Amino acid sequence: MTAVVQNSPGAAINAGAEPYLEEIIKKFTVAAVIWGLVGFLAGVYIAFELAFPALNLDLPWTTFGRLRPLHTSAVIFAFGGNVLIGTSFFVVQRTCRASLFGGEPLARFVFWGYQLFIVMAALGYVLGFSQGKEYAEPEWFVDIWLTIVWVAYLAVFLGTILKRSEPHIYVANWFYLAFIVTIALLHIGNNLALPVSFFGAKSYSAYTGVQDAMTQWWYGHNAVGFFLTAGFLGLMYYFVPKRAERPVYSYRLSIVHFWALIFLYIWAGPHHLHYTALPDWAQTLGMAFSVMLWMPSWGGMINGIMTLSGAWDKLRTDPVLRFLVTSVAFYGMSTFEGPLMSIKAVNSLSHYTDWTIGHVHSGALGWVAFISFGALYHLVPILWKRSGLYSMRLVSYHFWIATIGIVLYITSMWISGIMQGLMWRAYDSWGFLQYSFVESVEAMHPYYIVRGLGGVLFLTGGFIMAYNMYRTVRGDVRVEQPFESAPQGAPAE
Amino acid sequence: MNEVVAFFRSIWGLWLMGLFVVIIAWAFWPRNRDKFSDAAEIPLRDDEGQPPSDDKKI
Amino acid sequence: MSKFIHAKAEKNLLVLFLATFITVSIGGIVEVLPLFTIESTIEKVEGVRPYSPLELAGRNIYVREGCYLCHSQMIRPFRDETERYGHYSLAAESIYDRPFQWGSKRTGPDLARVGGKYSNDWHVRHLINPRAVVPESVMPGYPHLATTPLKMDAAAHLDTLKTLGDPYTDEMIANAQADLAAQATPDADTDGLLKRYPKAAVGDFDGEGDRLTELDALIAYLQILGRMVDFTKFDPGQADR
Repeated sequence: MTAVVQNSPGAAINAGAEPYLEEIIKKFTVAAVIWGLVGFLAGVYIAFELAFPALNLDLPWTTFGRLRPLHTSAVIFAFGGNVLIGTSFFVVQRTCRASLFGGEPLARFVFWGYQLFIVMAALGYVLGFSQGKEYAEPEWFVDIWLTIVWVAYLAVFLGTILKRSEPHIYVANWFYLAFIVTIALLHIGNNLALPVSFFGAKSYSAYTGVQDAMTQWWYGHNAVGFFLTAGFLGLMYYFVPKRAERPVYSYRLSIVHFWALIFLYIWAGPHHLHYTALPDWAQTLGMAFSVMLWMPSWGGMINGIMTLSGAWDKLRTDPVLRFLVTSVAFYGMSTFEGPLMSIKAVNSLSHYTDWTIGHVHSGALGWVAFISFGALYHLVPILWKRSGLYSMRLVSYHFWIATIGIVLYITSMWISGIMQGLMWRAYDSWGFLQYSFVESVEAMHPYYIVRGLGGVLFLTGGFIMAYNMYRTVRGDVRVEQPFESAPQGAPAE
Repeated sequence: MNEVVAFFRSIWGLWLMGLFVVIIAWAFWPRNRDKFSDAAEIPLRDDEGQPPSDDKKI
Repeated sequence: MSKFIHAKAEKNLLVLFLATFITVSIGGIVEVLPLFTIESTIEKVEGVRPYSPLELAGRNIYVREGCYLCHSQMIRPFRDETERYGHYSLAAESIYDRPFQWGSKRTGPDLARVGGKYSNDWHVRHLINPRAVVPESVMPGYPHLATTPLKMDAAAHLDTLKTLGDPYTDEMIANAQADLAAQATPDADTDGLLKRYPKAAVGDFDGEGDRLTELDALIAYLQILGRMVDFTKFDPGQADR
């Protein structure tokens, strides 16, 4: 296989000799940080709306129902999406030893096209254009635009792999590719709709009722599975080994991890529809595959964490690596909780409650956001050609503040979720339902405040990160005590 | 013929198991060991900041 | 560019691409597609009909405001849920729901059978200021619904749904705009409307007389929720669940 490239007739005119394109990755990095702050802020605001309904202001544009899609889209598609596309451009160039296919113009189209998608979607929610399908709220014309941008993204990615000078396609790229391909499939499949008029925003879904529900959660669960998991596993397989300065624990395990994960994930959607009018056979399949999914998930977690074996001391001296590794630990935690909640008996209690919200956030804040923070901290000094970050101490503060935020968030949601579930099904000694619904609403109040405070801490961490990166880009270096046994303060890249 | 098709459909669990075994076998095949351990080093080799020029190409 | 690349390298990528595509497609093909063909997916019931123009307008407001983010429309077959909300939900009850609004979270109560449970007047006061009637509620107020005139090209909407396969007749489409207004106008002639859309709630929903507002539409929708199925003729035995 090595001989292949040497004998290639075109080796004399090396297509890969152009330098890596990094200006575009800077743009994605900046966009990710800004959208992250917007998304966290929106999340904090709507969290407090549930505790203090006066914050809805009773205006059309600021109610929970319109801001919640803004929050989810801002954190998933705007923050997460910019991290994924930006890092994938970085990783695919470095691991293929080739510059981006299509050059600066095509990459710039992907960047600005994607930002336009985000802005159109966000404005749409606030102004009241929504398809009414969770995580797929943008209306038909926004969906078509995203499809165009996505095809361009796929072209850049595949084209870069095609012109690689590295014979093997590194496994991180497999995960990125699975993410790009599957999201395209899901996006088109779930959003088929007929607009009422060509000049109007309103459309009607091509599916109704039970079929629409299944299609939506086939999409919705795999937005989690491929956007928030497979894509970010691509980050894990590059940035964890890179930062730990040692190869991944087992490359063979990563291959098994990949195929098992992408095969099993796609089946898990029906666990969002347990005990609904979805036929039982589909619910049973969804549950079985969700439980099986535990195995490849933990295989991947072990692979990520064990990459550090023999280098555990780096966790003490490098807070960026601490973000990366802690994210993998959170990944392990939420991929244990997920299969648990997909068991029908557990789901009968947890479904419709805050437990689900807590579960999602242990994955979203602990796994997705933490691995993103780690990757962004790693990237900024490289992209802007600085010797290191402005301050490693600030990274450490960010880490601890955000971690406390997550703990507050998920513990308050566990309590409130389980309490809700138990109150709804409680009977008094005369055989009547013990609580009215609104009593369960009232009981949630203190937990909603604690959850909001957890969000405030997480947001604060985000601001610390933005400040640290801003100073890094300016070329400042903070005078501070280096972490014990670190060679020169920050491990320079 | 239909019965044959129906039979093969009914043992889909076995198909999946077979597929899984093939993937495991490929991943752990002794002859692939060097290829994979070489591939695992890829992220650690990219420190030059730009693609290799022709003579450095592997 | 491609001529510089050896066939082997291209084959690796092609294999990876296709194998990934096939692997992620299998689950969907086995799990999603059969729902469109297996007949027992949706039980046979009597009474479920397409939404009247005003109900449809109200439903679109429900979708637009993201009500599904806090209210489910899917009662699960548990004792506590059926006692709290009514008969468990049937697949047949949402066959005209584009999109479905089963929801995934109950920050507020389930609404699958809220129709007829509260008076129009209660809904008006509740939607304008929820805490006026339920002090502990955390729901946003929607006072602007009462002042926003309802604008809808009803025939175009019904026509779109007909194209997608919903059984709207030519007569329904021809009368769509008139039906939209008649359902919320006090003392209007609603015989034709009720023949086309049995059980539709008629009357002056928002108490604003002749003015047709978004509040009229939303309440008309809420008042039909869960009331269409004739449960006296429902045989749970034939339902596959």
